[in-house]
Amino acid sequence: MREPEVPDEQNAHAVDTSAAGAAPSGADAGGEPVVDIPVFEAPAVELEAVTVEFDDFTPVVDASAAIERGKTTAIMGLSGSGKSTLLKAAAGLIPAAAGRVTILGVQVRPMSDGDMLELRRQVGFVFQEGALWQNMSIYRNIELPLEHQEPELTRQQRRDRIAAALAGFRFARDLSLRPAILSSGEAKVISFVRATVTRPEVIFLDEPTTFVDRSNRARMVERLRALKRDERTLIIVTHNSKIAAQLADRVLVMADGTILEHGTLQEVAATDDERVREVLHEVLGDAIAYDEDLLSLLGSAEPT
Amino acid sequence: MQQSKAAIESVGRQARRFVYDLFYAIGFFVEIVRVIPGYFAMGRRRRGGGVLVIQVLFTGVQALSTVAVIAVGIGAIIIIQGLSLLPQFGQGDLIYVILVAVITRELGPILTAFIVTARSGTAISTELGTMVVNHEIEAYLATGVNPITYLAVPRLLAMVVSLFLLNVYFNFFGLIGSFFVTQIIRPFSVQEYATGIYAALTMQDIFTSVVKSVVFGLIIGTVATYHGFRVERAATEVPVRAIRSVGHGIAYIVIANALITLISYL
Repeated sequence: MREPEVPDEQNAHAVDTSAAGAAPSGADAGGEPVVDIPVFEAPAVELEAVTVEFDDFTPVVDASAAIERGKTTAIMGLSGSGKSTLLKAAAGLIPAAAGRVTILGVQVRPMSDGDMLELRRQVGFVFQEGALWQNMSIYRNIELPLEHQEPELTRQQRRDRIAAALAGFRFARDLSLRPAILSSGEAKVISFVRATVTRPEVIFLDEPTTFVDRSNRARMVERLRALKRDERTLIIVTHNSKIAAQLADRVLVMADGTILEHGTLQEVAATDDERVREVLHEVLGDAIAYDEDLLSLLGSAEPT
Repeated sequence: MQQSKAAIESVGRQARRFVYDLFYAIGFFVEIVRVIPGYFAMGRRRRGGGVLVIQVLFTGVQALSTVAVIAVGIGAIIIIQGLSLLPQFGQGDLIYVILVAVITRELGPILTAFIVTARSGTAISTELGTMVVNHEIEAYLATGVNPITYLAVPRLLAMVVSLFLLNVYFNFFGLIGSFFVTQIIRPFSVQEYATGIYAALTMQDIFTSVVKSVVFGLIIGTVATYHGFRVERAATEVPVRAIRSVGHGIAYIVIANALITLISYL
């Protein structure tokens, strides 16, 4: 892995000198240990003026944002606003035509295979479409990431991890079958399990609950809450206002490929930007009357 | 004036795209070659060793009957025509040299390459293109699995192995099988035939044939996987890429065949 990027003052934390990655700058000339050396921890994900271009259109334009470690960020916006593309660019899955993406302080693309694998050990991605590998069994879909990222695990250990990851989900299918038989909701559950079975540090989720039935959705939210308690970084693209309200520490609002607003729920709710208000009203419209009492509803909403 | 300007712009765009595609394809081939050692360094299970075996079965074994029929048919035609025409010019013994030159050096490698391009090249392009459309390639990237190592390398290696084996089959059926077919129409001594073939067949013939099959395998594997991965978003791109895969594959095979033949006679 490459060295972490240079510090962002907003993410500075004071830690013990014994902490891994502690900066040596706090030691005095005599080399005596100094407590509480300020160490700057890179954001989980940092986008710097990222633009994504396809042949015939530009879905993301000049996007900049720093996603804090251990926090949950909801990316919200109308359909076609560039949320999924931004998420994939942030995860390093599609190249940025301009700008820079860093994950856990490491710049992605270009990156060697070894560095890429090392980084991917700490990153998971739940695809909007499930994106399960059709040429292998459902079980193998979950096992492959484990096998590549943790080759030291025995077959039995992998089996146990997969059973634990699937526990609680209502999933009655034979795991030896190919994923072509799965419904969209079932495929989403397997995609979620595949992304989280390796216990990554940062998890990108693209509409994780869409098409998922009520009980599995509740289980998924429960898992996400556990990951949040465990201080994993979650970046969720969602149209589900209740999921966002329950989980998000910060909200990133997008329209027409640009980031309009990025901040805490309170900050975003208090904005005067008409476009942000319009997007929030559209996205959250079914659940709340934005102009009246957004924050109280965001605080009390229960996941469906 | 406006039309000619548009035409020039169109030519310019196509030229730029051709150069871009060419460099992209070269870079792609270099990348495949670069990761081949890494492929073998992974354990059999981690590298998906089954993919290589399945691909050899599909490309090599399932194409056997097609190759056998074509080889026997062409071999028989050469023998029958040769035995009818060559003695009229007092060159009856040339039949064996012609048979070896045509079957072993030329048609064996190139016809098997055409058959494999049509059958397996399109299948690989279509399969990989569909995986791109279904975001399966992104899923490999997301889990830290290099799709070039995991998907392209086994298919490329399978192409080389299959082309080599099919070439051997083609030679067997072309040289031996066709003899038995000819016996029905125009019987002649098996001993005479075996002696003639043995005298005509040189190490250079065999070497050239093997080199061609390996090079053609590399070409088909690279072109097919390249076009598969070049699909971007839409399902409609998949058949387009499959067609280009066949067209480009055949063109590159014919060019490579001419070059290797030329070099072998220098």
